[in-house]
Formats: sequence, C-alpha cells, structure tokens
Amino acid sequence: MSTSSVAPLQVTSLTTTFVSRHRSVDVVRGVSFTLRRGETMMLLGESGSGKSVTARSIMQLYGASAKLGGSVTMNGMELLGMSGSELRSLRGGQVALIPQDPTGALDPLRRIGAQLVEVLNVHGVETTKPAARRRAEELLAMVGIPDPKRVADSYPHQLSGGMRQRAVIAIAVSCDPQVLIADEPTTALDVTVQAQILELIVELQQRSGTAVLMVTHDVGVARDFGGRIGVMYAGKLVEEGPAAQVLGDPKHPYTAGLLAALPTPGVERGHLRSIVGAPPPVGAFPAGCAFAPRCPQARPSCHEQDPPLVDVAPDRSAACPVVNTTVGERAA
Amino acid sequence: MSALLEATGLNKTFGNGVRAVADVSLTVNRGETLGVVGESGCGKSTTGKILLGLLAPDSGDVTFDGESIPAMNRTQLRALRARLQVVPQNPQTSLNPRLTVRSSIEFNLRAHGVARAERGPRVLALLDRVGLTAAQSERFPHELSGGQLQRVAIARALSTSPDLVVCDEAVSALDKSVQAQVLNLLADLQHETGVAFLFISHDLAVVEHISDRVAVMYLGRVVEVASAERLWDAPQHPYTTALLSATPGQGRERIVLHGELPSPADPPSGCGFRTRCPVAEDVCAGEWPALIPVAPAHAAACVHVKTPATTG
Repeated sequence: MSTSSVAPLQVTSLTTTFVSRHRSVDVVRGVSFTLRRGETMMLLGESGSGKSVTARSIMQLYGASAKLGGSVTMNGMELLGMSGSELRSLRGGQVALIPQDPTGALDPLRRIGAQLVEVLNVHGVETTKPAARRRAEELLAMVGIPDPKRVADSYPHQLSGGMRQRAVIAIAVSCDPQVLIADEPTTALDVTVQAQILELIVELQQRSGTAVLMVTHDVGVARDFGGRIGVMYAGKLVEEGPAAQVLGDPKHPYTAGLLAALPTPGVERGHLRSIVGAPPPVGAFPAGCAFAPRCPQARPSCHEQDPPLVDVAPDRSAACPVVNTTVGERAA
Repeated sequence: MSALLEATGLNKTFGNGVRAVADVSLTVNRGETLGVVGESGCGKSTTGKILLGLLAPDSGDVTFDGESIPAMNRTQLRALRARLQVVPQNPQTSLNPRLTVRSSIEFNLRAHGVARAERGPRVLALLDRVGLTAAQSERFPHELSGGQLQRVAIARALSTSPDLVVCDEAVSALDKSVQAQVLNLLADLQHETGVAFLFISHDLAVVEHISDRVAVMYLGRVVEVASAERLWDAPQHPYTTALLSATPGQGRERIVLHGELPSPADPPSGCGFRTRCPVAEDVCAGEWPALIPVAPAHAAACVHVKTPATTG
C-alpha cells in the first residue's frame, strides 16, 4: 500500500537517544509506521522495548534530554525541529496524550473543571470562560462521568482512579485531536475498570474518526482492540501488521515466543513455553539482531547482522531472515 | 488431601474504618495451590498477611497444621516461619540492598538455626535449583534483573523447606516472557518438594494457570471458591462472570460493569456487589449472602445461586 503524505501520522526511521554528560543511550532505533485516519495502531512490547519512548518522542516530550532523528509528520507537516511555541499549540490540540498515570497528569491543586477550561481556552476552542465551562461539563458527561457538575468542581484526589482517567481522557479529546496517543492508559486500573476505559476510547474514536496510537504491554488488550499492531523489541519494530493476523499467526520468533509464554486459561495446563533469558536492558542491546541471544531459531549470522523490517506477506512485515526464507517468498 | 492451613471467620477492620477482611474462611491443603484473586482493595493481601501471622485478625482463627497462629507467642511464631514462607511482589524492596543475594539467603538459614558449615553449600544448591549461577550469588540486588531477583526470593523462601509459601503478586511485576519462566519454576518446585502455595494475584489468567482451586474476593469477602477449571468454565457468581469477561483477549462476551469498587470504608448495605451487579434485585440490599455449595467443591455467595437438591 502506498503511504500517502497526508496520513494523520507518519513516523519514518525515528531514533531517540538519551544524552547525559557521561554517555548516550539509544532507546528507539529506527521505527517507521503510518497511522491513517480512524485507524488504531498498537505498539506492543515488554519493558525497555522503547514503546512508550516512541509514543512520547512523537510529541517531543523529552526536550533537551533526548536527541531525536528521522521524521515525524502530521498531515505532511514535519514535527521534528518545531519551535517550542509551535509544539505547544500542537500538543493538546491536533495531537493529545492519555498517559498511564492519570494522577500525575492532573494538577493536584486545581479543580478538574478549571483544568479543562484552560485547555479549551488555550487552543481557542471556546474563547470565553462560561462557554468553556459548559463545554467542559459536556465533555465530562461524554466520557461517562455520571455527575459532571460535581466532578468539574472536584479536585483530582477526590476522584477514584477510573474517574481520574476519564477526566484525563476528557481533556485529551477536548480539542478534537486528529491523533490520540494512549500510553498504557489502563495499566494502573483494575480489570473491570480497564474494560470500561477501553470501551470508552473505542467509542470516542468511532464518533470522531480520530487516529489512535496505543502503547501496551498486554497482549490481551492488543487482541481486543484490533487495528494494526507493531511489536517492539530493544528499540525496534520486529513485526507489523493487522492485529488479528499478527497475534493469530506470528511471523517473528519473538512475537511467537511472547504469545506462547502467556497462560491460556481453559486450555490444558502444564509448562508454559517461556523464552530463555530476559529482555535486554536499555543501553545494553546486543549487536546484530537484539533477540538473537534468546531466539530458538537464531543462526550464526543473526548475531552479526541486524535484519531490516521487510514484507513477509501482504500487508505484513517482520524483521527476521529466518521467517523471510521460510514463509516470505514475497520478501523484497 | 488434608488441610494444612485453615482460616475461619477472619475479620479485620483498620483504624480508618476500612473493613479489609470480612468473614473470610479459606483452606489450603497439603501440596496444593490455592489462588486468591480480586481487584485492588478486595482484601486479598490483607488476608495473606493474616495467614502469615504478620497481622492479627480482629476475630476469627487461623490454624496451621492444627495449631492456632493468632494464639502463638514469639518463639512459636519464629518456629512457624520456617514452615510458612513468603515471596513478596517486589523483590527490589524485599531483599536487603546491602547484602549479596548469598548473604540474604544465608541470613534466613541462620535465623532458622542451620549450622554455619552447612549454609554455604545449601545456598549454592538452592540458587542452582532456581537457575542462578555461583557467580550471581555474589551480586547485590541492584545488579540483577527483576526476574533474577524473584528467583532469589523464591530460593530464600524455599531455603527452610517450608510446607506453605504465600506468593503475594509474586509474578505481577515481571515481563510476560520472564513471568512464564517463574511460573514454570514454581510448578516444578511444587512437584519436587510437595510445597503448598497460596497464590495471591489480580491476574485471573495467571491464577487459573497455576492454581488447583481459586477463591474470588470482592470487598473483603470470598464470593466464590471452586477448582480452577470449574471457575473458568462455569462461574456462578455474577462478579466472577464479569471479572472473567473483563480479562482481555479471551474472546468472551464482555460484561462491562458500571461504576467502580465501592470504598471498603463505606460499603453498600447487603451484598457489596449489588451496586454494580447486572442481576441485582431488591432482596440483595438485605444481607450479604452466605457462601453456599452449588456443586461438589464449588461454593458461591449470591442469592441467585441454588444448592442442588442432591448435594443437600
């Protein structure tokens, strides 16, 4: 499929390097994907895989502590290298973030309503305070808060975790963003509340056609959410494609190993097929294919050459020479 | 199978009015794994602490091998701890950061009166069993990964050959690919030593995988107990059903519960689940229903469940 330059979000060869006085650490090492209008893209990975850093690099939330490379465009407009004021009008407007921890995202000293009003005013959605206040209450009702007036007058600590995350989502969608980035939006919540929040995100997406980039470590969440999925390992995408296909018929040995390691209730018990070792820590990614030291199918060459992400089936790509020769006759 | 640990009618209310545990009765048999599952604030960890003798219940009793834990004095508790160990959620904070992992385990052996000459070889054998090398035994906790630390915590817990190990969210902090290794290790160790586990977790898929029987808790109470297979295939309590359906990626029809867990300091009258229950009726506001048998080795606490006539 040709990737048109007017996609709401196009990420090309994104690299993120954290720099300190003593050393620099590559965390994201060349990630590319396209998010189309109304589409969902999941970044799935374990800790240290660079999934959250990828999402936050798109919004350039690391400031001077990180060096970004490659390109991130929204509707064809390059975001990397934008000035602070340009970025400020973009963030919360065209692109909004739902963070993992709603408590840290809200100002503890200001009422929920005031925090919503501020966003609406800053981005010029509502220019007067009373209008913004009315809109704030509408937004709170829209995200399923039963008594929006009371919640608007509440401080964050007066709300439960689930309600706080709803309030954060209300802020995130307040300016009708074209791209919504959800960074593990339900990880801090209990499963029954998680189900509510995921449902809410789907509902809002269907209503507005927002493109959603969601970061998760939870295969179950990725499976339920659908859309496209990008599996990350050691700062790179190792596999990409439609979620149902990737999770139903994984091509990369890491994806296959991760799925096999999950306990599947209702199926015969016994040993889980674990992957040997642990994900490499950031800053100590192995040379060659980073997964090779844990890979049951690794060849000697895997420890030297890092395979690129190539097409292995229609609409699917993987970064592994083993799958490319066994299943990917189409491989470029 | 005989009962190793029996808790009857446990109650615990904290000073801030939170009724964390209410009328909880549980049995762990020798060599089995009892899973305890529930969302945050359901009282599962408080129950674990009471069972470990780390927290005194307001009322109710816990017997370990026939002896009452709350009635024990310090000397007796100390002796008990060799047989009743714990693997906590976060090994980063449960291991002394200034001791090598070998010293941490030796410390445990010394506390339980193992002779000095015997300690060294035993530590190495234990670490070897959980998959760590002799070189790793000289490392400090900050030099090891989360999965390795959890192996150390398991080795330490098993060092005194306990009869029961309470695993409180023992694999929750681990990456999935590492979690599988630790779950396999626990299963192997149980097979080899006959140790029983009380496995506390919020993750139903993990609990179902590792447990023989599972107790589901809500607002401080056990609302359903059954074998893992039965709970998964034929849940009886509406909360269990909703919890199963909310576990992502199972392809079950999703029952989205409205609202959130009520505060344990101010629970609703009657059945605590009625405010979120899709099948609640007026009668549910009366009293919290008792846990009644619905099938052999399967009990649930809901007015909608019936005891089959045949089982009386």
